[in-house]
Amino acid sequence: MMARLARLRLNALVGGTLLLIALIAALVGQFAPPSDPIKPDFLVLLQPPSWEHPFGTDQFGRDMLSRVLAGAWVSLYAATLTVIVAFLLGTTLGALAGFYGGWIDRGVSVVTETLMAFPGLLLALAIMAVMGAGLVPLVTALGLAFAPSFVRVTRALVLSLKEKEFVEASRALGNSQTYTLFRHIVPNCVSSLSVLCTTILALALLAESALSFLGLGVQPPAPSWGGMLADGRGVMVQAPWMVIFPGVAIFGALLGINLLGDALRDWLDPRMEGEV
Amino acid sequence: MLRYVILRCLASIPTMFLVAVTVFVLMRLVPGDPATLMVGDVTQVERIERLREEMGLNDPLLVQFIAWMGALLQGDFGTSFINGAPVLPTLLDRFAVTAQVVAISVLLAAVIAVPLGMIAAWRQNRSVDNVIVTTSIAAMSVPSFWIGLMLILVFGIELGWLPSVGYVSLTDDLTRGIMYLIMPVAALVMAELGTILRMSRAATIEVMRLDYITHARAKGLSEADVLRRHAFPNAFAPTLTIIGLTLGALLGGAAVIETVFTLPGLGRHLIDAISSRDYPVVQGVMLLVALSYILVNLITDLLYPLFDPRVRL
Amino acid sequence: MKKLISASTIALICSAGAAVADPEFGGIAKVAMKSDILGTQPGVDRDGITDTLLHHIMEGLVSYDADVNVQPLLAESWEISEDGTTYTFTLRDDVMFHNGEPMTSAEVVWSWDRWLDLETGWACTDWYDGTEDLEILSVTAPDESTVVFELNVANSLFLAQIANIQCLTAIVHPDSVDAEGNWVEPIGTGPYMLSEWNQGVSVTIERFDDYTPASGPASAYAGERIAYLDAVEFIVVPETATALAGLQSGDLDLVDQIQPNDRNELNPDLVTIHEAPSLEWNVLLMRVDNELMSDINMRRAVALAIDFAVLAQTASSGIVGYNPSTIPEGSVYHTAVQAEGYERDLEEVARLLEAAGYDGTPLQIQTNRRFNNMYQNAVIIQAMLAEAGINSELDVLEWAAHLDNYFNGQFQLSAFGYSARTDPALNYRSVLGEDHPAFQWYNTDAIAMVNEAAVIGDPERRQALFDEVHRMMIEEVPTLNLYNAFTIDVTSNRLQGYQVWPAAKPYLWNVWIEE
Repeated sequence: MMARLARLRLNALVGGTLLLIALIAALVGQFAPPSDPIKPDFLVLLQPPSWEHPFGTDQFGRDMLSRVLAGAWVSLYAATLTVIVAFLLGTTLGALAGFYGGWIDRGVSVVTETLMAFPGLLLALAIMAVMGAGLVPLVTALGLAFAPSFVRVTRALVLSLKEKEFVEASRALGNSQTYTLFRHIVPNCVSSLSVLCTTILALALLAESALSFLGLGVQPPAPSWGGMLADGRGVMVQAPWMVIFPGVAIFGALLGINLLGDALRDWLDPRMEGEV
Repeated sequence: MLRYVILRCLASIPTMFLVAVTVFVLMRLVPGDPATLMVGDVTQVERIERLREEMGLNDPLLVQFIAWMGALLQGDFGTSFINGAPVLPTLLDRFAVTAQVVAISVLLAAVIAVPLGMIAAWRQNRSVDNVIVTTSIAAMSVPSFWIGLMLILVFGIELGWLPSVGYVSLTDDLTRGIMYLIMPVAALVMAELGTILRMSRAATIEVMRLDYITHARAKGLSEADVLRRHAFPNAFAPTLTIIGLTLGALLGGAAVIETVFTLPGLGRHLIDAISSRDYPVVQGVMLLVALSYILVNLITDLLYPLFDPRVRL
Repeated sequence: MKKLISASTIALICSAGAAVADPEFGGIAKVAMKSDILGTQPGVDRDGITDTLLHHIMEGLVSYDADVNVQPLLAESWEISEDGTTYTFTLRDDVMFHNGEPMTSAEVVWSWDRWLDLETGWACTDWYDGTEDLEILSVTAPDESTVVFELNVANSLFLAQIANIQCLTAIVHPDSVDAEGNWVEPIGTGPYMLSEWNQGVSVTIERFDDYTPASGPASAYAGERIAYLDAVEFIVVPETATALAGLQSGDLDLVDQIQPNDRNELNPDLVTIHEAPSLEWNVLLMRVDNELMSDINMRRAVALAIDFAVLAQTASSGIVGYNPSTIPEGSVYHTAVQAEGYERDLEEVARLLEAAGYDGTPLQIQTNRRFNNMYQNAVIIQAMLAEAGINSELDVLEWAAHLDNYFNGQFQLSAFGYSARTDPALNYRSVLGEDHPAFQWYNTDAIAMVNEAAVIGDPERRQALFDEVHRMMIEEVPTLNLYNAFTIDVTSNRLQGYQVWPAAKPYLWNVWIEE
């Protein structure tokens, strides 16, 4: 019991700290980077870390520290937007499917199955090729790819809640279906969905890095961590700092989110309280 | 049972059809013309026209789609625009590579993660549990492609212990094949370990709470027997679902790790085909990936009752 | 810049001179290729990588030497009629196909018939069927060792066209195809024969023991080509970074066409770096029919805003300099006139922008990441334009979309590059024309001059024409030439005798392994 609480606290503390660092980094990177993360400086190409450039410079002479900071903004922003898109899309469809059932349920489940059987990679590439490169297509693609998780969880939750007394009561009082859905059912899904949100946030961040690493995500010269890894890959023997720092940044942010998510899960799920 | 399998297969037909339509339409919406790409920067207008005609790209979209579907129903995946080779054999070759890496990785990850998860559950909230859980969270947080790069940097280049170029199939030369697989498998195992471990732990905790475990303990069975005979077998079923999902997702999504380690797998094949606008190949890969995803899920569901006697299909 | 080039060239010559040792037979070399070959039928299954490999297996009548001059290969010699329309080739009598049959004029005619047949799907029929100006009226064999080509018009490019690298005009044995005429396997005359193609993984070629080399000094694709190696294994390695790691760990012997930056990651004790100027050239295309760019003041402003010397220096890590001409620096036609280009002048830019009524609207520069040089050029140009008060945005496209836009003229500015052409007239024809949006420059006078240069053989007259066209181009600013590419290949230290040349095509004859 004590160990559980200790871990919960430690996880929340470490996770929170890491995420806070990432957030501060993102804000600094976006609004007050040490130097321009995009403008090339041809006099300092591929410099190893030094006092002036703590993370070194890249093949265009750009300060890697500034780029990693600016990348924090790009990556966290894209990942957060992705979660919002997936959440809105997924919970709406899931709630409708679970609550109304019938053909809506069947239709939603075919679309969900299709999306899940479709590698996110191709979806992302196709959407980005059609819509042009940029944040909006990236978020659309990833949002679509992650929406099914929300659909499934919400649908299952709604199905089980539908049978609960307070929902029956609301109906018996003559409240409309929609009112019942949004007044009584949706709020009761919040805790489970918030855990799912942290999981998806981590996955979205990872997917964004992976896509940018493949050259399909956030388009250069805008810095993103995955894109920096791709840039650094060709010169990693000579300039390992170009692959080490962005990688550590991704790791740190993911670790922060995952630790917080774990703490959140433990805290919200009373059944997980150990009795052994 | 058989009825269930047939129903499941029938249920996947709309999904497959939707996948086919979506891929077909998406590829044609994407800017870029396969004929122009083949000719390159040499301005040969007539040749591009000829190629488009040969590829059937001048036909109306519906005609193209029906022709493709018609051939598919006869088992013909078409031929690649780029090299004129039949799509299917290459596809299966590439799939074999991906399947090899992914299957070994997921199996290895499961072999490590499932027992660790059960141990963590058994010792829930003790220090062993905390160490295992925290380590798994850390492992989950490492991007597989980054750990791949680091492995290449250290073991491929600095130490020179493992080959970082090329690929040798396990069936061609076992020892050399293993050398080529170590790094990609290590990167994938690390990435997938966490998810499986957490599921295994959660499922075991769930089971340990049930009455029959208390009964078993009350009957005076030893703790080891309780775990081995009653708790673990029942906790494995939900974990199996997650293993299946992981496998399904990786079969279609190992492109990043294939890129890092230059493996001639399906994901790489897909990326190449997309960038050269090789429509028949892209369409073929997508159908194969969707099919394998559906099949893996079906098999997982069929295996489920073997491990969980409460479920009957 | 010029100095740098010659210094490095001298260094290369010296190191080559010092390393001379007697060639030894034997051994297997491993070569990285970025993607798998598309097939084995030359000119049909083709891209740069496939071309490279197939040139080891098959040969044409003539071929390029290291200075990109046409030399005999399977032909002993040729004669051109007075009016320039009849080419008579005398064949060598000591050439054997890989199946042991001797090569005669019959196979030459058979091969040419096959390539020119539209059914075959050969990529370069346009060059010979009158689609452009040249048409081969007939290929005949008056006797066993003579082949005669009849052309519709005199054309100074004909030999260069049949020596071209992309569409290898290979002389193959008719048994290369089956009874229905479908391609089976290449039975050529090259120093190597195809041994095994493990699709998606590697291609192995092995020495053809009955090969008799052409006479004449060994020089790139021409002269005495000797296969010292028992075999060469071409391994698919899509990523340069991985390939270079493999080279240094001893898994590979040759990685071709690396980026200038990549050199820095190489350990000079483990590998040998080979550099040569190439015929490819980098450009910034400007769409003259675009609303904003149709104003010559705007185009001149962009030209004068760029510091081309710094651009070339940065993008190539100091290997090459600014080349304002469409004609490659290595060409004999690249003279002082061709070296005249634009000088950065920010005050003049300000005046020009005012004259053009530029309101600060950002220009869109299209580029892609598949070709790092194009991407680098775009990034650097964007920074330079910003300094000169011209706003611009990068539009980073996927290569397929970028190429499509180039081909359809859908862009404002485009950081683009052209592959190698082997005659200045062909260089100019890549940008100059009027009937298709893929052309960048519409000027009937210039087109007429280039057409004349394509027909006549007199070098002085050709030079005068090219000089005039260059001056007109600088004046009208239809497109900006940046710099010629350099080819940088890297070999393991055990691979000896390796040479790079302007066509940037690696070849594995006249090289050997020394442990």
